[in-house]
Amino acid sequence: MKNFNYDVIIVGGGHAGLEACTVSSRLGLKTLLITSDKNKISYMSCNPSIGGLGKGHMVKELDALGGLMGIAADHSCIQFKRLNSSKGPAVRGSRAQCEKNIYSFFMSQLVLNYPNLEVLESEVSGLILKSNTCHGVTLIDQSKIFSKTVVICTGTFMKGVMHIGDKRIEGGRVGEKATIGISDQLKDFNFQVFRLKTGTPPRLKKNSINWEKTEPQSGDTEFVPFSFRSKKDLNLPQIQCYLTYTNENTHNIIRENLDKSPMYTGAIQGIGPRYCPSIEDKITRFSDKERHQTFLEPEGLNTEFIYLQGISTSLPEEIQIKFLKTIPGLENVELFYPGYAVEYDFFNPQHLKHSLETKIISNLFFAGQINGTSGYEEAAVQGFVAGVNAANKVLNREPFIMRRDQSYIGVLIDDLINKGTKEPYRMMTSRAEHRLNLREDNTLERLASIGHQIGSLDDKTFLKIQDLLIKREKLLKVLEETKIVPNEKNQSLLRKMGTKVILKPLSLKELLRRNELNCYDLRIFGVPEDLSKTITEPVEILVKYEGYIQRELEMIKKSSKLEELLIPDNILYKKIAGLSCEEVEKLDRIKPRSIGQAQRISGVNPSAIKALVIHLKAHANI
Amino acid sequence: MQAFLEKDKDTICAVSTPPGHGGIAVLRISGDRALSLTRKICPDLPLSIESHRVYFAKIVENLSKCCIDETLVTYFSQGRSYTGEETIEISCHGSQFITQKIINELTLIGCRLAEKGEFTYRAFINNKIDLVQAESVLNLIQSQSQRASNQAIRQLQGELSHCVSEIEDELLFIGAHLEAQIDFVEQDIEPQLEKSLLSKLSITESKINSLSESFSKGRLLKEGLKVVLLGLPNVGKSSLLNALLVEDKAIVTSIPGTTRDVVSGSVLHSGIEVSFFDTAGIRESDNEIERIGINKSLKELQTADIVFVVVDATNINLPDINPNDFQNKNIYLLLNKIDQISSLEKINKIKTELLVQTKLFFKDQQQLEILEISALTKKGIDNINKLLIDFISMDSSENSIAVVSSRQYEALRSAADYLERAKEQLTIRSSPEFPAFDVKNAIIEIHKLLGKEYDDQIMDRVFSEFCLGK
Repeated sequence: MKNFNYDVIIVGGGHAGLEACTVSSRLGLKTLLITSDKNKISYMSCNPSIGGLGKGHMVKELDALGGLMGIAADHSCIQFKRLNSSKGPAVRGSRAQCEKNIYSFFMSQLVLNYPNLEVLESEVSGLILKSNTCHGVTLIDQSKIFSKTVVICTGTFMKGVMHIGDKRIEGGRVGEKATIGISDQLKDFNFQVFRLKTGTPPRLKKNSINWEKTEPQSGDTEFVPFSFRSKKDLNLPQIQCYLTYTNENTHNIIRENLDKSPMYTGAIQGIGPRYCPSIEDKITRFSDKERHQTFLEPEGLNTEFIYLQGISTSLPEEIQIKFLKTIPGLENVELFYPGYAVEYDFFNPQHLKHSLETKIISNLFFAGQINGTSGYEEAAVQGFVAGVNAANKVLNREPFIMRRDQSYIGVLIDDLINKGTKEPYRMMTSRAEHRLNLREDNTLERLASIGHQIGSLDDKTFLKIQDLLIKREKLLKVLEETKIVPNEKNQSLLRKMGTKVILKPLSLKELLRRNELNCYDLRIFGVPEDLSKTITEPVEILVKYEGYIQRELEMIKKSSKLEELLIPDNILYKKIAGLSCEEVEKLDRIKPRSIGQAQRISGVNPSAIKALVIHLKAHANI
Repeated sequence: MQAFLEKDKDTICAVSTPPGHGGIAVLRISGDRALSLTRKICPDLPLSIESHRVYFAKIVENLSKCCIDETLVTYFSQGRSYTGEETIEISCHGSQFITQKIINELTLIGCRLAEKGEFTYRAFINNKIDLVQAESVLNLIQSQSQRASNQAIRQLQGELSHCVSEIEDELLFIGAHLEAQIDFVEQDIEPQLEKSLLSKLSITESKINSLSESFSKGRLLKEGLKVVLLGLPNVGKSSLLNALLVEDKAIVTSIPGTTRDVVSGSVLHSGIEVSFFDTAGIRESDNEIERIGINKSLKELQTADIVFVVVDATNINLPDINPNDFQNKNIYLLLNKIDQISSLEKINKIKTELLVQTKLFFKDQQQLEILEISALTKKGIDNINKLLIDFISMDSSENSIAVVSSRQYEALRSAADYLERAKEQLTIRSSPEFPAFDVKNAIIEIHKLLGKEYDDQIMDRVFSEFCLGK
């Protein structure tokens, strides 16, 4: 098979597919994106917002690596919020509500004019496989396209079935068909296929709502873009969302009609996300709660579509209308389309390596919901990692792997491939054991040089970032080296600032640890006045939280050493003395690449780790 | 020194001589800080100390400076010891109480208890022994860890287990309420805040403290090992008992009659009192006095460490028992009168049949181990004694029983340290991720006691506690 049409083929033009095809093109490879609809590139099928806790972190990480999601979110932002802004720096998360159509249009334009990238509107019916290697794809018209690597990011479209009451419609998104081929073909290669479920709320007509009865909710006044490359100012006018609540009447109607919900009749087998239950679930599981909040969110600036956050449901349409009408503001509500549940196939992500290449078929990569995740951000970062690795494989480069202590992206992939998932996996800050160090404010420090090194982040941007990081370092040095002594002049300045006098000479860094002070306050002691917040804020955080950050860094130092103890691919676990059968089976299946990863596999005892270390040492691998 | 795993850097200690009342016992301490830590409880050591020389020195309590024992201390410098690390060996008097006391002092000042085979593991890592030698200890390490989780559960019977689970539950509650404030900030939920969590945390911490005090005294040392004999009349329990008591030349105490009327006798194994309880009385009865006796027997059963079900090989019938009384017990089947069965073939047939019968009783138990014995000819009595000694020493580090409780003590103390930090954070009203960091680590310590692994249980709790969702 010598005549490859492309280096890399990406199947699916959602959030994962977009990052995958663009990064592969940036790395200089001839790339093809196959999508069923060129006009729905990076389409937001559900909630029209990007970011949130853990998710905002990932968008920023992706941006530092050269990904595109952050730029599009900034460009289409119509309401911005920094969640947890009053809490510690590690758990502050940025979120932008987006103009859904502008977002998608922006991405489509980008992709259609991207260097090295071609877009084909078609559907894939199968993979070209030869001796456990993927050589391209077959389209529904039976034509074949050959490539060196293939990335699959088909989202909820694999055997997707939508449920509205007892209506079953094949498809992954309202108005679109499902794809069938690949999941059956891969089952023959012993890929485990499971089913998941997710839901979406009804879309309401704007002019049918009585806005007077709802409480308007504004975003933050200060906008902090996700992307280092975005302008500091907003592109679009900002909108409000509106809050209203369900009540006992709403709940009664839902309760009386539970037997019509496919969730309860057993028509849906897939497991849904715990963090995003349907309204049916909410009132059943928490029956003593008198009301549930819901936000009315416009999906754009000039759109009539209103997204009803919090009320995902798969009840029949007429029941949906009936219970919605009991909610204040929705007395005369009309729908564009009702809420529905989607069931779809996903592959057990334990079949994947850290590079997102499958262990069973080489040159084949999976990214996004196909791996059991939920969310645009989770999909996008996987698409990026798979795209880089699909390209690296062609270029004969080492796989690009992120560690858990480096990024949320690393946490996400490591969790998936080691533990698998039972529900749609969503990122939360609690999943990161090194949460205090994986902050939004230090993303550039953590990842920009990596992004540049892999060839995804361009030179020009990287130089600008370096410039910023040097400014931060300089500021830190000023703070460390400037000392103030307890003389009359200084004490009176301190008193004026509303802080205690000092008892011995202190560096400005030590002074800055006081809660009531920030960098700007210290300008009278010699801190440059004209520094922007992008310089001062991360430095302040570093100083104020140094104690905690250090404690965690020490833990990271310990664990990262284990990540560097690599286990060779050809290791024969059953030949190693001291491992139980169960441990051999687990190690064989997961094939950990390092001692650190082996340690995280549940059911592998500390003694087995010792046995591995002894084995590796005896065979001079370490 | 080489260190691959993080814990390879710890300074470890253990009793290296077999458990029991020997004339002397040897404690070994190995690691970077072996000498500096030993100095804390051994002020007599000269400032400049020579390798491979024996020093006469008192061991004292670190805090009170009370003398624990007069000992001989040998120092081995780094590179010139068995493990290749700086090593101290203390030869003290061979009493369980003294060795336990010294080990407890060492763990209090910063040593960690060695895991089984850990000294040998370190010797290998530091190129002091070859792979063949090292692999021979691997099986030892493995058998240790597989027992560890069963063991953790078994040891935590009754009230104790209840208490630890309660602590786990309270910590998960606190952890969940902290996490809910972080990841679900825009949800319509009302997690409890600093003040209420602080008072809950204080209650939990005091529970942990009182528990760790009770642990440090050592349960087996204090209470001994309880073995219950169960079987129909005439299966040979009495002669078995005699064999067990007489066979061992150690002290025999026979406590017949009134107060502990089910006790049939006890012996010392490895310095631990092993008491045998004959529970012949377990059967349906109309006699009121007998019923009182039966209830007593059942109670003994509940606190037993080991249950021997004695069966007559010539007539295999199980006693009338309620499987519920046996949950989480270590049960062994003793096939008595084996001398009366002529061929191996027949013995195997009987054993198969016996296993089928027992399966009906103990549905959720794994396959039981059968010991072939003859109380008459004393065949197999050795094996029973060996089993008891193994049981006493199996979870102890290197070999001593006293440290079993120390290991748990260590986990509890470390949990309490984390909670202390969490309390500080809550008191100064830090952002919830800071106390959450410490609460999670405390839960991980408590899980060590329960033989559990941490697998996001806090998040599970968040989802069951709060109505969340977009």
